[in-house]
Formats: sequence, C-alpha cells, structure tokens
Amino acid sequence: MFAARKTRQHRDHDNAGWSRNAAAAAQTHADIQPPAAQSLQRAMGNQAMQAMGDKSHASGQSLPRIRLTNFSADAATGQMNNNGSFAPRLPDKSTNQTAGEQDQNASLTSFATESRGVGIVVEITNGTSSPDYPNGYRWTQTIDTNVPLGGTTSPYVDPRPNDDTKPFYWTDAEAAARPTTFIDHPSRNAPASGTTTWDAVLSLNGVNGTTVTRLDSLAYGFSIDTAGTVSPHTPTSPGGGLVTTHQMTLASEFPGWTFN
Amino acid sequence: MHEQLKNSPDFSVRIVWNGHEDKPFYRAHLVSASRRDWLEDQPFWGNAVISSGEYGRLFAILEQRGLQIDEGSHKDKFGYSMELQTDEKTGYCYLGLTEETVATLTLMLAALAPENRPPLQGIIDRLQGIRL
Repeated sequence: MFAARKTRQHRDHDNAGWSRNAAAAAQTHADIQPPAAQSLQRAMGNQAMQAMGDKSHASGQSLPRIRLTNFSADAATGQMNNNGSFAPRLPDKSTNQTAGEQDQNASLTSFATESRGVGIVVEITNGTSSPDYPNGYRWTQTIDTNVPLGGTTSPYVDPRPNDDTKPFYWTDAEAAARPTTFIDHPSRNAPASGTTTWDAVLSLNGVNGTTVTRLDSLAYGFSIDTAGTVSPHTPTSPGGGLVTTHQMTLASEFPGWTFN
Repeated sequence: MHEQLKNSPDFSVRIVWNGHEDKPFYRAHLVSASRRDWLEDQPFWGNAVISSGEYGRLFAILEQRGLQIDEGSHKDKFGYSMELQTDEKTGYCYLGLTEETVATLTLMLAALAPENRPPLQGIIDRLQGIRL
C-alpha cells in the first residue's frame, strides 16, 4: 500500500521531495505525518474519513476524493506485452486490499512501472453524482515534461493536441464509458542523452457548465534515462505550487472555462 | 507471404501504436471467429470479431494504397502499424501517423460491418483531433 510520507516535504515542486525511489512505495503508516484530512484519508483509508465526515459542502453531500491504495512502484520488468498491449501488473480490481477498505466507497488504484513509462489507475470514492455538479465529476491532467508532445511547451493540458473542445482528460463518450475511473499509460522513448522527465498533476473536479471546481489532486510521473531505465515518481499529494500551476495551465488553454 | 496471410480463414489483425504518448492512443484487435478467445478487454483497446470477407477487404485496401507487408516488426517506427497474423505467418504493415494514415483507416472503417467499426472509429476519432 502506498503511504504518503513526510508530507510537508512534498509541498513545493522544486524541493525534489517527491518520492522518486521505488522503496517509497513500501513505506508504512508509521512514517506518516497526517496534517490534513486528505493525507489522513490517503494514509488510513475510508475508515478515517468516515469518522471525520466530509459534509462541508453546501449541499451537505459527501464529495468524491482520490484515494491511493495498492501501489507498486516496482521497476523490475516492463509491462507492455510483445503485442504492444498493456498488461497492468496489478489488476484494477485487486483482491489484496486490507479489510477496512471493503466498504461501498472503496477505491482500488494501481501504479506500476512499465517498459517506457508508468501505468496508473485511479478511481473516485464517495459517489458519482451531486446536485452541485450537474455535469458530473471529470478528470483534468496537466503535464510538465522536458519532452513535450503535440508541438507544445510544458506545462500543458493532457491530451495535447486535444481530442475534443473540453479541458478534460476523457472525452464525453469516454467519460460515459468510465464515469469513475482514470487510466493513463504515459511513455517516452529513452533519450539519446540526459534524462527525460514526465510529471503530471491529476485533478478530480466537479463540473457545472463551464465552471470546473477542483476537489482533489495527485501528482505522479517518471523519468527515463539513456539506458531505458524507468524511475517512477510515486503518486503523492501535490503542493500548492503544483496545484496553482495546474489550474493556471488549464485556464490559459481554456479561457472560456472557469477553474476554481 | 502476402497470399498466405490474405487467404487464411484463421486470422488476427492488430492495429497498434508505437512511440511515446501522453494520454494513450487507441489500438484495435480484429479477429476471425476462430480466435474470439484471443480478445481481451483492455483500456484503450477496441475489439471485434470480423468475417473473412471483411478481412479480405482490409487486405484489398492495403493493396490499393500500395502499403507493403513486411516480415519484420515496425515497433521501432513511430506511429501506427498493422500486424496481421495467421497460424503460419505474421506480417507487418506500417501505417504511420499522417493524413494518409487517417485516410487508410477511414477506408478500412468503411470496409467493416457497422457493428465492427467502433475499434477503428475510436482510433480515427482521436487522430482527427490531432493536427497531422
């Protein structure tokens, strides 16, 4: 299970506090400093969140959150089959979650190193609809990489170029097919020199028309060196600077939308 | 090799993406009924069981557009490629990532029965948002 450790060190983008070592995935609860409910939830699961409650929203309804479980940043082997298909090391519906996660809000999430990048699956918890967000919950992701795609510069909104006219990761049709799940398999080729880095901030948002309200975020990524060795950047709670950059990037690329 | 691939009633066609990506590109896996069990439900993959007639029409499009079928994989070439597999042979056809790629895939889409079009439609929809 992933445990966000030394959370304060993760607050700034430049402090290299992200857990970029596979060993970080094996951290235990003993390392956790839980300064915020979000971190507590990530550390302890829904049991803690149920005890605290999450009724601060105007409607009194529980809002969805991202919860990280079942993480494996093991870089032992690649995950792309020889036919080019993706084969997650951990199943989306893994059976090895701990006993307190077996409630109706349980979210099983995976993160694993692949042959030229990482694979991640995130699911939302605490429901899929709210009267405050009649257009539902949608994912946004921004990328900061030294090898940007789509003829753009970093940071930029994923996908780039966009595959529709909205700022969300999934198109409407894709979102309808996967209303609660985020899936990504970013990859880069091994660079001729230096190291390629790829970092993302993923946010879960409530949507009302063109107003997008961020509810929760996580940061993750990877780097790949000239030998093709992939180092995962273990998912963690992004600091305020990263979130601000995420929101500003969205607002810049989608000026007709409001990002709260 | 071309004729062996073309005339086999037992076949598998994969349209795969090779290269770096952020949000993954879509892939497609089209098989004969005899290989139905080969299909896997995976994110970013579209699957369909197609007839020999549809398979033959896909081949005809490759021929019509002068696309070569090679014995070696194109996994080191950026863009889409097509993998055609029978019991005896595997061939590879490089499709790339250009307007020609979309044109080829659009022709292939039309060559399939309506119920078998979603896998290719998914690829084309994504590519149409990209300035090629």
